[in-house]
Amino acid sequence: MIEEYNMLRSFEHLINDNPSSKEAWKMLTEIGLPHKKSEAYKFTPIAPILEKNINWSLEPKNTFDEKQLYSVKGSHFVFVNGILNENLSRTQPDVSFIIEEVREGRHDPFSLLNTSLASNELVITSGTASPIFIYHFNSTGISSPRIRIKIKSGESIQLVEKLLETNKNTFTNSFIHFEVAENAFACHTKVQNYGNSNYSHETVVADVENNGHFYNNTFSFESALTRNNLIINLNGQNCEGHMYGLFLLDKKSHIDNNTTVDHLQPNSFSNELYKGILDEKSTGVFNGKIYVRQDAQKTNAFQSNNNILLSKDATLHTKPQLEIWADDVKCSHGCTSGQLDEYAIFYLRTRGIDRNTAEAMLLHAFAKETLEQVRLETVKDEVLGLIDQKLL
Amino acid sequence: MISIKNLQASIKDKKILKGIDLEVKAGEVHAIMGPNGSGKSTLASVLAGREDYEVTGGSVEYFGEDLLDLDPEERSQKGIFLAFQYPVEIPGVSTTNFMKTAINKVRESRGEKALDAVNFLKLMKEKMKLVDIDQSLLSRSLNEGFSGGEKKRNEIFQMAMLEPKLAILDETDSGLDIDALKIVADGVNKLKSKDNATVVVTHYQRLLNYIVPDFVHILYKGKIVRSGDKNLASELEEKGYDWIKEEAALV
Ligand SMILES: Nc1ncnc2c1ncn2[C@@H]1O[C@H](COP(=O)(O)OP(=O)(O)OP(=O)(O)O)[C@@H](O)[C@H]1O
Ligand SMILES: [Mg+2]
Repeated sequence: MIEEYNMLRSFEHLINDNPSSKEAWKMLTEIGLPHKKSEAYKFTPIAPILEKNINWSLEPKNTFDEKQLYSVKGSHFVFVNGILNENLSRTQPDVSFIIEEVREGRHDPFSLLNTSLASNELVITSGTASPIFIYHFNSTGISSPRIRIKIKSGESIQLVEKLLETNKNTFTNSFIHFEVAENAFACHTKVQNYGNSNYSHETVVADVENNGHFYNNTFSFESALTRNNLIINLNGQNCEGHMYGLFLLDKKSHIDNNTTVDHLQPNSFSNELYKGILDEKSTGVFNGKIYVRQDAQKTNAFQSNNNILLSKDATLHTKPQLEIWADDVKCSHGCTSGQLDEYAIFYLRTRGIDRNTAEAMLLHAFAKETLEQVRLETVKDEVLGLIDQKLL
Repeated sequence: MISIKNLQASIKDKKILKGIDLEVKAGEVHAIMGPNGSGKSTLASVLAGREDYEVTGGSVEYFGEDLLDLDPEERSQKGIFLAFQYPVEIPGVSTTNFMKTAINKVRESRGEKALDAVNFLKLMKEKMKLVDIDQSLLSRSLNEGFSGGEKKRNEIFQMAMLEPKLAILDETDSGLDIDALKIVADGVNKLKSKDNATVVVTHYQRLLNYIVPDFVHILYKGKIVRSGDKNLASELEEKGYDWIKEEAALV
C-alpha cells in the first residue's frame, strides 16, 4: 500500500477543486491503486510499473498533427493531454456537445483517478448521420480524458477513438461512458498502436436500455502496457452487446483486455470474439466476464477467445468467467491457443507460396474475422494495413 | 524429367518408403496403385517436400537438379504439383485470393511480372471452364465446407492454373461421381502435352479408362513390387492384390 500511496502523492497537486473530484480522490487514497496481489490486475501489475516508468513531470510537446486525422466527413474532436481543444476540433452541425464539470463515476481505482484528475467532461449528445472521431494527442506524464456519449432513443452513432502517444514515458488514463437509450445503436471502435514506452489504462462503459445495441471493436498492436476495461451493462430487455477484439503483439508489448457484460433483464444477447496473435516477448491477457442476473431469463451469451502463439517467449493468460443466477439461459464460451497449422502451411507452399507469405496469409485470415463489425471503410483499411505491416 | 533412385523415407522412426526406383519422362503418364497404407501418399508428399518425412536414403533428380534440396515452394515454382488426397481446409482465405498469390509467387520466381487483375480474371475464367467449377465455390473460404468431390475438383482447378510440368494426383478420383470423374479426367487430358508428365495414384481401373497410363506400378510395403503397362491395372481389377502380396512374401 505504501508504495502505491507514494505514487498517488505525485498527483496530489493536480486534483481538481470540485466536489466530485475531491470525493473520488478521498476514496482512492483509501483503497489505493491495485497492488501486486490484486486479483483483477494479477497479470498486469500496473501500479509498480507506472511508478517506475512514468515521468510525471514531463514537459508537454506541441504534437498535434493534422495528417493523423481520418479524412472522412464527420465530427473530429481533438483532445490534447486529456483536454478538449475546440480550436483543433471540427464538428458537423448534426452533433451537439457541451463541456461539463466532471461528475461521480465508477468506483474502481483508475476510474476514481480519472474523476480526480479530469478537469472537465466532454458530453456529446447526438444521433448523427456522420461518424464521430475522437483523437487524443498525449505528451504529458498523465492525461485523463473524460467523455460521455448520449445516444438518444432511436438514434445511432459510429464513433472511432484513437490515442496518439506523442512523447516517451507517458500514461493515459481515459474514461468514456456511452449512454445508449431505448432503441438506440452505438458502435465504438478503438485503434491502439503506441510506442514501446507508452502506457495506458482505458475504461469504456456502456449502459444499454431496452432494445439498445452496443458494439465495441478494440484493435491493439503496440504498447508498453495497456489495460482495457470494457464494461457493458445490458440494463433493459432485448438489448445487444457485441465485443470484438484483436491483439496482435510483438516486442515486449503487453495488452490486458478485461471485459464484462452484465445481463440484468430478460431476452438480451451478448456476443464476444477476441483473437490474439503473440510474437517475440509480448504478453496478452484476456479476461471475459459474463454475468446473467436472476431476472435475465432467456439470455443468450456467447464468448470466444482464440490465440496463436508465434514465439516461445510470448505469454498468454486467458480466463473466461461466467456467473449465472438465472436458469433459462444459453451461454457458451471457449478459448483456444495454439500454433499455426503446419499442414496448412505445407499446402500453401506446394502452390509456390513461400513460408513467410503462407504464415502471413493464415494469420491475416485468422485476424480478419474480428473486423466484421467495422463499418467505416477507412478505419477498416487502416486496421488491415496495420495487420499486414505487423505480419509481413 | 524425374529420376527416383532407391528412395527411402521414415516418419517418427517408422520406415515407410523402403527403396523406390521410378523414372518419369516428359509426355508420360504413370499410374501408381497399391493397397492401403503401402506408402503411395508418402511418396507423393516426399516429392512435394513435406518436412515431416525424413528422407533416409536414395536420391531424386528433377531436370538434373537434386529435388530433395529444394523447399516445397521452390519445387512448385519449378513445376511440381501435388493434388492432395485430403485437401486442407483454410478458413478465411478464398481460392481466388490464394490462387492470385500463388500464380504471382510462381511468376516472381521466374522473373516475370505479376498478373494484373484483368489478366488474372481471364486466366481464371478459362481454367474454370476447363474443369467446370463454379465461381461461387472459388470465392468461398478455401475448401472449407466443400464436399469431397468439390475439393478434388478444386485441386484440378489449381493444377490447371499453375500448369505444372510434373503433376502428381493422389487419389483425385476418389469421392467423384461419374460425371465429375469424366470432367476431371478430361481436364487432365487437355492439360497433357509432350512437355509435361502425370503421375496418378489410384485404386481404380475406372480412372485409367479415361487417363490412359503408359506405365502402371504397384507399390506394396514401401516398394514398387511390379511395373507393367495398362494391362497390369486390369489384371489387378480382376484378381485383387492377393497374388501380389503372395509374390512379395516369397521374395
Ligand atoms: N504422420 C504419420 N505418422 C505415423 N504414421 C504415418 C504418418 N503418415 C503416414 N503414416 C503411415 O505410413 C504408412 C503409409 O501411409 P500412406 O498414406 O503413404 O499410404 P497410402 O498408400 O497412401 O494409403 P491409402 O491407399 O490408404 O491412401 C501407413 O501405415 C501410415 O499409417
Ligand atoms: Mg494415400
